[in-house]
Amino acid sequence: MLWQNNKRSILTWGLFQAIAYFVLALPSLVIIGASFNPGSVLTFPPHGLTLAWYVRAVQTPAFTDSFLLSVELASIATVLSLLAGTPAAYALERYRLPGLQSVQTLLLSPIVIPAIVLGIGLLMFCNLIGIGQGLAALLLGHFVLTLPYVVRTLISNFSLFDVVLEEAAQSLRASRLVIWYRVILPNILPGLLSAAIFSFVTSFGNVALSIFLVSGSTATLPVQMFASVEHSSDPTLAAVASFVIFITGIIVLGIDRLAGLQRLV
Amino acid sequence: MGRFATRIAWSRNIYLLGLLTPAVAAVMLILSIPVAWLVRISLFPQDQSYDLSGWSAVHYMKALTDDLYLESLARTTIYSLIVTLGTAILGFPLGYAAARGKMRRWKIFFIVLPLTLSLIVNIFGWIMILGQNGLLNSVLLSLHLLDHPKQFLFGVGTVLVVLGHTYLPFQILSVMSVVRQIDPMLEEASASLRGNRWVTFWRVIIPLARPGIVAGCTIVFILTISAFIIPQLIGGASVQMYAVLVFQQMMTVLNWPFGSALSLILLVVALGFAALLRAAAGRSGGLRSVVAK
Amino acid sequence: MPQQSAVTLREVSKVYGDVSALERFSLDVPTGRLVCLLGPSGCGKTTTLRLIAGFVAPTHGWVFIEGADVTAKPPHLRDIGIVFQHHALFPHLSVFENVEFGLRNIGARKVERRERVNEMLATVRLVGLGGRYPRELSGGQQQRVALARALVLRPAVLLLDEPFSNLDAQLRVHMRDEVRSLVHQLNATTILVTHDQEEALAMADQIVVMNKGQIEQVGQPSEVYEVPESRFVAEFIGRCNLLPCKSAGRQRSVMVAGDQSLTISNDMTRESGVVAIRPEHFVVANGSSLNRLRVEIVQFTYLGARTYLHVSLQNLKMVVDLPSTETKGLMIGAPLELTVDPKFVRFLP
Repeated sequence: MLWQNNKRSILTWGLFQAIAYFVLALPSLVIIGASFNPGSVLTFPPHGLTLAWYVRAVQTPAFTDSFLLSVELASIATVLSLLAGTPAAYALERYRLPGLQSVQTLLLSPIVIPAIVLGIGLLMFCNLIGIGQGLAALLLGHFVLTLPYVVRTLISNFSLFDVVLEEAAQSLRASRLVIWYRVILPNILPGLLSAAIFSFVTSFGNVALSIFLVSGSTATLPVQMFASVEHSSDPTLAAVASFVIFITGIIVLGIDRLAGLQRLV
Repeated sequence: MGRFATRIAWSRNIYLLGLLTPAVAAVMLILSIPVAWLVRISLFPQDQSYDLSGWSAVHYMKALTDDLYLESLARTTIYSLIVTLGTAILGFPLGYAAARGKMRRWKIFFIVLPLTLSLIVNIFGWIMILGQNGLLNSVLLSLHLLDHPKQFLFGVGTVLVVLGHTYLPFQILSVMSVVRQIDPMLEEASASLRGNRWVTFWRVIIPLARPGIVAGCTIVFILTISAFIIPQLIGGASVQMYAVLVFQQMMTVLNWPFGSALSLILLVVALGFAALLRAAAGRSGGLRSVVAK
Repeated sequence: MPQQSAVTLREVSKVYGDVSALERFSLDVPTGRLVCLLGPSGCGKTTTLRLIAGFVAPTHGWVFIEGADVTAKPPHLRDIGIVFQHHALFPHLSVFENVEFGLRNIGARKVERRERVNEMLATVRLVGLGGRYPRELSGGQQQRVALARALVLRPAVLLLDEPFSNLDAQLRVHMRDEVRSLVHQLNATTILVTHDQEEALAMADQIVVMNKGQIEQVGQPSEVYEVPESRFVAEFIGRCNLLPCKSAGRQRSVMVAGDQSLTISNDMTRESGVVAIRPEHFVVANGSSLNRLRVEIVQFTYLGARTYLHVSLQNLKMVVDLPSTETKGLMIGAPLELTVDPKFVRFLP
């Protein structure tokens, strides 16, 4: 960087960034700290170290059930998004036709629509078609939520994947299906994986949309946490939240290993 | 064009259609129909969630003339502009430093993690920092800057800070990805032409980074103006942001037609502002001309 | 304090970790001259340029521009102009605005700016293109805008960082001549960095041959070509045969390939070394017996006016460049008698 030619400016710049990143991470750090706190009141800083809350969390059905539901939901939504999104991304990247730009905008639009509008809309819609709240509604919502991430990730992946390989395969008598199985998919595997992971964490952590679609018996983990935050100040929640942080952190690191975060964002 | 060529074109078109149909159908179904249905519901005259029939624009009239809702919309818009501006100002230097500086990999990790983390975790963390028994109070008490714990939650300022904190990563990433594409040699060229830091900043980097800045501001604005979870949990009753009112009407009062009307107004305002932002700033020559080498 | 030099580097070292890019490097660039820093990649020529520009600070040593010590000054406070390898034109500004950029920074008023920019655009023959944008121009035109942008500020020194390497061969030759006549016309002190020795020979008033962070030789193009002072220079510039040799006992006489003796043009500084003979200096023997060598033809390539031959002298391989008129009827495996004037035979340690 051009203006790093005196020690003082390097220091202030570095300090500014350090503070900023510290503040960005602060809520997570606080939660993790509190989750080990032996006191029964949610306080920070912690007075000691204990795993009691983690144990409690695992023993609370509300949390474990909702966790399993979130995992199940995220997995199914991810699979659906990959199935629908991969061919669509391919079509959008490989073909240069006038109408395709609008299609791309359409497929990426769920990100731009405010969650509350989408949530209410889906709630009304599910009501209308008779499936009400619950797993089916959640599935619809999470599918349309994760699809744009898959499409976007794969479009950029396909743009890096030289079409000449497919042309070579065609010259070697390969049909379209064979090209998909033996040329395209093997080569975009890292992209698929990172798209899958992005999609998974998006679905897993989603609360704004899910709030409208959960029913009494089927709550996702974030919504369950939301309810807990509103009603109690149990440190068990801190343990659950820390757990979410750990999982998400590991998953994000996983994406970085696989495809390099730098290239995706 | 011979018949053979036409057959190839057809085959290609069918292939294309096949590739796109599942995704497009899904989105149209799950996105467009609900929104359309929402429009229909907003035009029912009743104030309840059952036995709905008829057509009327009465809810729109109320939403657009009742002071409570108008003021809330205005206030929410202003808050959103504040948060957008604040995150833009903070996000730009951070994004630039992330694009050009060292330790990029770690920086990106610390930016992406809050983004992928559930919103509720973020809020929970802030509650623990700002609550009566929280971090801020503990620190201030032990430094004797306070006599007794103060309630930092439940205020407009706090909500704006938390909103800004939550959405700052979007700005950073947006700026970073666009600055990455700016050839560093342009900055050297500016210096070689007697341009000091400010000149390089204002006359070279910002114009070229404009698409990224606009994209970041658009996202943050839409997210902030439609935020309801953060204002509800952090702000409490004193901060009546528009989306919170929408939520109340739909989920508590169960006045679906009115709530739908409010939500659609919100949608129009959000997307309208986004379009305005893009139009006002979209004259740049595009990033294609700026790609290095 | 150096006065006549536009740029002086004194005892400059630049170290990156364990790697020493430049070591105790000193250089004087005379005002108004076009000096070329020539060498292979990694020799330190680009580092030198960037040191003069101020993008890099020396680990030790001093940099002077027009007599003033600028070692501690950042680039925007130095009186330089630089044309980058990929021209680095501002894509969001028009040609006019690009050329005007520096003038605004030094505080020139609008009327003066317009005048100077238009004058400069005329000098580089880009009149009427002021409103275009860089992406609308050809490679050669972009290069000329980059030159105009740097020169309009009348810098004490113009720095060119391999500016032609991105252009195709024909354009490169054309631009070479243009730039040369332009800087002569403006009497601008210029430092050109290149790895292309033909470019250096064609353009420079003075060539600085560099290798591994050190200067191998400084001189005019004809000096560097005809009187190379080291093996590196002999081989890097043009083509050159280097034949291992030993002293033959007499003054200015050596033995090569065992029993062949050659008379050379300079004194031996060591007992053994190499003799350097450029391929084009050989002639087909016609009677004179001085420096007569009998070689066997291994391969030859007809190139029109000249024919290029690979020959062997006992076990030594050589290349010979003869006019095609003298090589008619030659065949592979045939013997050939060559002579070379002693003044073209130099001993190198």
